[in-house]
Amino acid sequence: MRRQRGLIRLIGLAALVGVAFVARPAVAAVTTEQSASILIFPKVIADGARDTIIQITNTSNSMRHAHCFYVNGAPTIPGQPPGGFICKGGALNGLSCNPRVAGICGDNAVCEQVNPPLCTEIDFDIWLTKQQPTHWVVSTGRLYPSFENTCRVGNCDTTSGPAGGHPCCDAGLDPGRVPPVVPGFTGELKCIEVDAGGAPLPGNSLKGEATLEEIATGDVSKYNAIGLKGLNPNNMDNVLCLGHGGGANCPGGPEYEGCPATWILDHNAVGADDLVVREGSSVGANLTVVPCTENFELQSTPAVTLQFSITNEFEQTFSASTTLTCWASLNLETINPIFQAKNLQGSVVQTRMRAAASTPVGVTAVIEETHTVGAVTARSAQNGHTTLVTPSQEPADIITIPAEQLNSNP
Amino acid sequence: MGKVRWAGWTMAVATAFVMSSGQAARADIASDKPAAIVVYPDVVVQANTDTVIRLTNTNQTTPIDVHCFYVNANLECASGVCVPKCQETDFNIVLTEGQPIEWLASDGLADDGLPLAFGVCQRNPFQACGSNDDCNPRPGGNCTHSNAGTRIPPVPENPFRGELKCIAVDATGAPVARNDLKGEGLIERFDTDPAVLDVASYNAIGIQAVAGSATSDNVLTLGGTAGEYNGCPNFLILNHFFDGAADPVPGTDNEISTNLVLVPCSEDLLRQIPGAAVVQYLVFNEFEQRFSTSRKVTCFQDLPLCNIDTPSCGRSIFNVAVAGTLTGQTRMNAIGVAPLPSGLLGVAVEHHNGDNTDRSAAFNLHMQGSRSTADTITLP
Repeated sequence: MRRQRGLIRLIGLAALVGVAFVARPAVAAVTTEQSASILIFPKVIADGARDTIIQITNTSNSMRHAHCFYVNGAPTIPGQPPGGFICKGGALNGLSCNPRVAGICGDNAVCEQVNPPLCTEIDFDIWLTKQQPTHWVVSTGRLYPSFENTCRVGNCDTTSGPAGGHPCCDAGLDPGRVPPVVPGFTGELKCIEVDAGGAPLPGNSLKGEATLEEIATGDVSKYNAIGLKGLNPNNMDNVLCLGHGGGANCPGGPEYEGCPATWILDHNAVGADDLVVREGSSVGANLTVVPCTENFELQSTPAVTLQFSITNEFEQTFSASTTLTCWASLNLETINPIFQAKNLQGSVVQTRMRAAASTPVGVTAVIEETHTVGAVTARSAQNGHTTLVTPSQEPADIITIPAEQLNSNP
Repeated sequence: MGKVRWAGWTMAVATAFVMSSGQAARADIASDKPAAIVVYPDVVVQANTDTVIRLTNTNQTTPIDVHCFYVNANLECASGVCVPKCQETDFNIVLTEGQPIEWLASDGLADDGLPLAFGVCQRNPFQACGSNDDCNPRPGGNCTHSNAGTRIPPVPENPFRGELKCIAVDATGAPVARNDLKGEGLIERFDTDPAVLDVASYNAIGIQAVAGSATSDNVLTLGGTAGEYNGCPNFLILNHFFDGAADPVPGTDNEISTNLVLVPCSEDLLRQIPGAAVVQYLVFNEFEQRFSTSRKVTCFQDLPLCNIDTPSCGRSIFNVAVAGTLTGQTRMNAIGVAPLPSGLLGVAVEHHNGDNTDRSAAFNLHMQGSRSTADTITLP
């Protein structure tokens, strides 16, 4: 009996040692080509000129649920671009400021962004049977079960062909009611895998893609959703800890892989000739960035200052920076003129992007190039790279979901 | 008593081993992280289409030598049977610290086209050099880093269809375990009448070296028990529109189709033996209904989805009218077969065809698992 007890203790000890071995350092392991528990679509557009098709698939052999958020990053004053941060009130009224420096604007004044993004969120639930793919158009949503006559027929007649089909754009098992976005939407979509009761689950079963389409020309660009893998243990509460653990909000350590501290983006210098067309052509680049830390309960997102290190093909390095809140889609030349070919004296560059030390918030990003010749344009989107061994952003990024949203059955 | 204690410790160690190895972080191939081998599965040159290749050294402090191979997969037909040529053309590139370069597949890059065609002697910046020897004994000092030694040829044929594979090597040409390379491929089509410009881009697929284990011989082992590089995936997963699907975006009148481009992980570039696999396709529509088919890939495959299982698109399981829903998930499992059993890598190119337009977008496939069998790349 005593021997058996000793044996059990030894096995228990060994199990603990084993667990200690598997406790992985918080390295950044965002992925754009493996199934994950959190999917981030940084660039979702439905502004009348462009629309977006979302595809999400359950890659597991069990039914999976997801709780999704649209975050509207459209500027507060439509039609005008978001501006920089300036002091409002006080002696420094109208002067630019850094929102992360407390009291920078003096007494009775605040540091605020000019025409900031709305940062409003709407959420909804989807559920997918085993291996089920689904899709929807962002401007229309997916409102009706396909077996009813009310499904959106539109121009999606799939009945032609020898085997017939289903005369419905939204044919398929109903994934749930996906709402349309508001007109003029420019923002992000984030989907978090949850269990049937709505609690976050590290199932790593979701993958996704976004197709951005210009309605007038049919021009398309496509990128893979950025995935954050879920880890064990996960206390399944409404505070999701990404990467580095610790602190009052994450006593149990990381629940998801962290966002990377550094992104690597290759792109053409703005205004460089398109290599295929050459004369009369140019290439532009647009960078869309969303912070990994988001508080959907308070609808607040911390400002993050991004530092860019830009290396051209002549081994020359330049730098730039910008500040954003919940969402930003920036043409690179608006961040800093150094991104222009005439200033870089090169045509292709490697840009490294990280959060400034004073604003330690991880970000995710996607870059979209615009190739232009005369009145003709073509876009292509690319996922960024992360370094192989870069640690994740420290401290942990945190996504806070309103608790009551987790209690409703999806 | 002693035996029991010994058995207890043995079980304990075994349990610890199982616990630690069961969830060990498996290294997978990734197109979103730098690597020692980068694969561009789809390189196209034809009348109005060309491919821009971007290659970057992400190491900000150390230059890197790269050995690249174009694999010409143009079809060679005899007696009505066409097979890819699978003929390689190789060349060397030297990238300086943090340097990105790009070139047009139809043009290549050499001589004055190189960003840093030559270095200069540190003690005499007016003296051009290719190596330190050029600076000694006079004017002395070292030669600054440059692209000297780089000569990228144009693709061997026009039109051309095939892949590009680049491998990190040392100054002697031996493979090195440096995960410093990243790349992108941009397939561009430019028609002048009417003017249409179309760009589809994808990330080159990175095969990461296992730290410290890449050997300097000419046989590179991918995966398996003694892998020098990460293993190729067990499954490739493609989310796609079924061919012939109407574009669901209101206000558009396009038909969507997808080309699937696959290349083998194993290649004997010394004896020009292509990797081969039979691909098992499992296709799920949005009703969770499953179809399947299979097809052999040797050297290279670029096919519309609906031609994978039949030449008659209207009867394909990848056709929207057969599948009954707009989108699907296809899982591909490569079963290696003679002459050189291989896993597969790939990208997809989605076409939106309208009355007067054909716009496309490329994207990387998802990957799952790692093949238990090693793949090999044999260099000349």
